[in-house]
Amino acid sequence: MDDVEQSGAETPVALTPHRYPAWIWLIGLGIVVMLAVALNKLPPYYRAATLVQSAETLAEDGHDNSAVEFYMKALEITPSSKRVRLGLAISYFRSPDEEDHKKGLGVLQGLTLDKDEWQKLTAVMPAAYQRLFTDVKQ
Amino acid sequence: MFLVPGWLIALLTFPGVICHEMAHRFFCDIAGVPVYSVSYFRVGNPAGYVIHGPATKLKSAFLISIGPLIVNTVLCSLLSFTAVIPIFILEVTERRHLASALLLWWVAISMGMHAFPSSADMANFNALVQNAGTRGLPYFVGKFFSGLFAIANVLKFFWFDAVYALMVTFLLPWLLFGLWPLWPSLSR
Repeated sequence: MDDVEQSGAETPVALTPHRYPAWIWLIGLGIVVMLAVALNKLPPYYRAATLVQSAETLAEDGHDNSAVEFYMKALEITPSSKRVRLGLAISYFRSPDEEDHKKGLGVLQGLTLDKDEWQKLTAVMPAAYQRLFTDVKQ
Repeated sequence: MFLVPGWLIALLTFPGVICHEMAHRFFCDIAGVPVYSVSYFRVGNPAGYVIHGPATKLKSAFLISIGPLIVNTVLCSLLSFTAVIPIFILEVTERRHLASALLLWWVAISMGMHAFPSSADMANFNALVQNAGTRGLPYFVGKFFSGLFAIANVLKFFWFDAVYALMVTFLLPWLLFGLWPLWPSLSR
């Protein structure tokens, strides 16, 4: 990638300014479209990220009921977020209500967890539920 | 050091190369500097080039040399911000969302990796700074940047371009969410 200055006896013909090949226009358009898509997706993702951040802070402070509300709002925006689903499940399992435990189990359905995540989960998950999970070979 | 041929890196990160050369060409046109030949992308060394006439003003030379750095860095930062949140913060698992985020991140990284002016860019700029005749603020700013980019070009051997791209992609999330996206376990 260079910009090279030209100097010499023969002056070559300069290209017409602001006239670019069609494929360059297409690439430029592609970049603009990509940027527009990115900026359009940014507000909901940003909102979900701040909701998760708040939920995790609340959960750390022991306010699991409030944390669940924040997690639920984040889940509406990004239903496939592993971080949201795991955090929500942990908050549900910390609840003394068995109905909440069932909800926690439902949130985890179809999720693959790594070792650290599984350890965090088993710390709060009722033992009977732990048997419902199976090992996945990497 | 982990060595990969330059042409292969350029091939894998071609959007950044094209954008870099487009910015050079565009800023030459803006500055009224004649452009004689352009290669936006090719498999070779260099991966792209813009052959142009001499810039008569230090400001124009600065714009032509530094323009791609600004354009590529801004694009890298904006595109990656939307990608980093679902990949590293929210950890989305749905393939469609993950694929679009990874595509954005790849384009963003390629922009960041080709943001820095090449050694030829800086040689041109240095020559103009030397010949500018003035010793005012623009001269010293020019000298500062040329020194900075000379160091950056040496550090490219140690993958500084990739490190820079990664730094740019994580800068906004880091500023807004702290170290959270990089090391999620610290905050859990």
